[in-house]
Amino acid sequence: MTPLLAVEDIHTAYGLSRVLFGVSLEIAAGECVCLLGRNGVGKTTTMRSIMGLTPPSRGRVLWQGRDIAGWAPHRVARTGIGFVPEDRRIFAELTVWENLDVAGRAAGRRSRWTVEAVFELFPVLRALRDRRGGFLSGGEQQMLTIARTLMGNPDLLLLDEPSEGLAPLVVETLRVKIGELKTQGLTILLAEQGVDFSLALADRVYVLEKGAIRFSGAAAELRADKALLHRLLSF
Amino acid sequence: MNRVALGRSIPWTLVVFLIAVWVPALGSRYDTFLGTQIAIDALFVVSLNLLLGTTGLVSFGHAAYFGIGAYACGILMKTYGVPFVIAFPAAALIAAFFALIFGFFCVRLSALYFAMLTLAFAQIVWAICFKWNAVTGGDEGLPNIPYPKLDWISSLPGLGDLSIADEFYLLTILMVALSFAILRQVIRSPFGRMLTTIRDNPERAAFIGLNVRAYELAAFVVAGGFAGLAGALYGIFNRGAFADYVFWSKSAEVLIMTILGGINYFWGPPVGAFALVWLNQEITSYTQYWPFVLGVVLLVLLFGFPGGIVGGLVAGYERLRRMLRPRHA
Repeated sequence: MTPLLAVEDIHTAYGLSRVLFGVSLEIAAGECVCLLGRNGVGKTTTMRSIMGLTPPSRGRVLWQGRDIAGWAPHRVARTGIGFVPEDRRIFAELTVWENLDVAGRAAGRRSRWTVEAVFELFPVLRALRDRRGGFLSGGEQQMLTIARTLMGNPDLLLLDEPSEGLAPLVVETLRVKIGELKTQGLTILLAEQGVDFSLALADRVYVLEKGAIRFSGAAAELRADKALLHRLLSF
Repeated sequence: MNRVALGRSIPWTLVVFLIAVWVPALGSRYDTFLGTQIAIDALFVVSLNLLLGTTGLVSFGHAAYFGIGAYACGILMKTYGVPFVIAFPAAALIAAFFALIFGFFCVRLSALYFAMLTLAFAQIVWAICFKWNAVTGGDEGLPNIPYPKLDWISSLPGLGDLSIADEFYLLTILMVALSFAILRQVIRSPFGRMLTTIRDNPERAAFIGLNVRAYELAAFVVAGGFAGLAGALYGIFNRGAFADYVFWSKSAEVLIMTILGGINYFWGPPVGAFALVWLNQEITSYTQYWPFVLGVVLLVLLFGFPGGIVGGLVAGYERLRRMLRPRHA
């Protein structure tokens, strides 16, 4: 079976500074895969490469068997890849509802996600419907960013460090919500530094170091082997 | 939130129109003349602000579409004897068409490069207007654009005998008000919200699936079309179309008006147009050093009120309201 997404040996650089040195990974439909690694190892760059925001200079990004490396970001988004960036910035000038509406229209594809449906998933947002994005808390913004991305009806969700900078209670809520999305059959690629957060959600794990994959295996394997975990991610 | 409520609960376009209608009856001929100039500039700046304030694109060459509108309307009316009712919308379409062609290249660049390319295209248009004697009259310009037939305005009940200038003023404010109503709808529509997302962050807009260039181009074309309408009115108002209309200093002037009034508000730029035209008239009657005074006024405004005149007024209103409100509320 062809994986939903296969990244094959991509090299990516920002100008002269090279960040990725031949990263390869695969995600099957319905899986939740975690990209673990410390700050600055290339997790965000991997996601930006997939999304077309920082196209790889070498290698292929196969989406349902088709090479999408080098496509413009809006085309990548429309083919069904939703990106929730690390800075979780919403459109500050628009209200919560407008943020969602804009995303639904921009995607230009029929969505099973309506504003009502994302409010079901994130009831907090319903109460904040007419609040402007700039006036939301960090956790609310993170939920709005995920909700906004869902409005584009993605088949694959790229979540870049969703738990970063959030209070523990909010992180827990977020974990439950992402778990719900996974149960609903959404395929997820999660980039994280937080081991507990990601291992609780992931089926499989890739560990990135200095722009290359250093380990790949089942999340359960890492959960069980504390020594291995420590060796891979000694902070 | 109250800021939004304050702005949105009042149909400003209608209010201003209803006030402006009285200028010929209550003011002097000179007031009507200034009023016409301000109304035309107001439309020109609002069209520019669709790019600047709404979409976040800085155009240094917006005068190109203003000038194209003036020439198109003038050439159609004078050379081909086309009536105003056709020449006027045609001017907008022709200006929009050129905006489409130039914009196609401009939106491929970002920020400063976008601005420079808009300037480059505008200067090309200027050079053509300046040199193509057979069509544009070259450096002589295109004088004696005929006035449209407007006697029907005087025959409307309650208006009585109006001078040609009064009639043209009324026509101008009506056209400007209609254009404002349309542009207001455009900005509030889902399309307008898309433009806001681009201003906020083009990259973010792209990865939610928005074709940023296509939307920027659409905004560029709409802005160009309405600038063309303003230009068409201006050509008739000045009884001629001249290459100055397209020169870069005209583009700079419209940018100054827009920033002076405040780009974050729909009514900011028209207030800026009003202020600049009025100041120009007042100050030149006292001193010949108008550019010097203008420079000082701009410096004070930019440092004192970075949000422009309207931004400053709104901030002052908010502060006043907070001071008057009881502490425990």
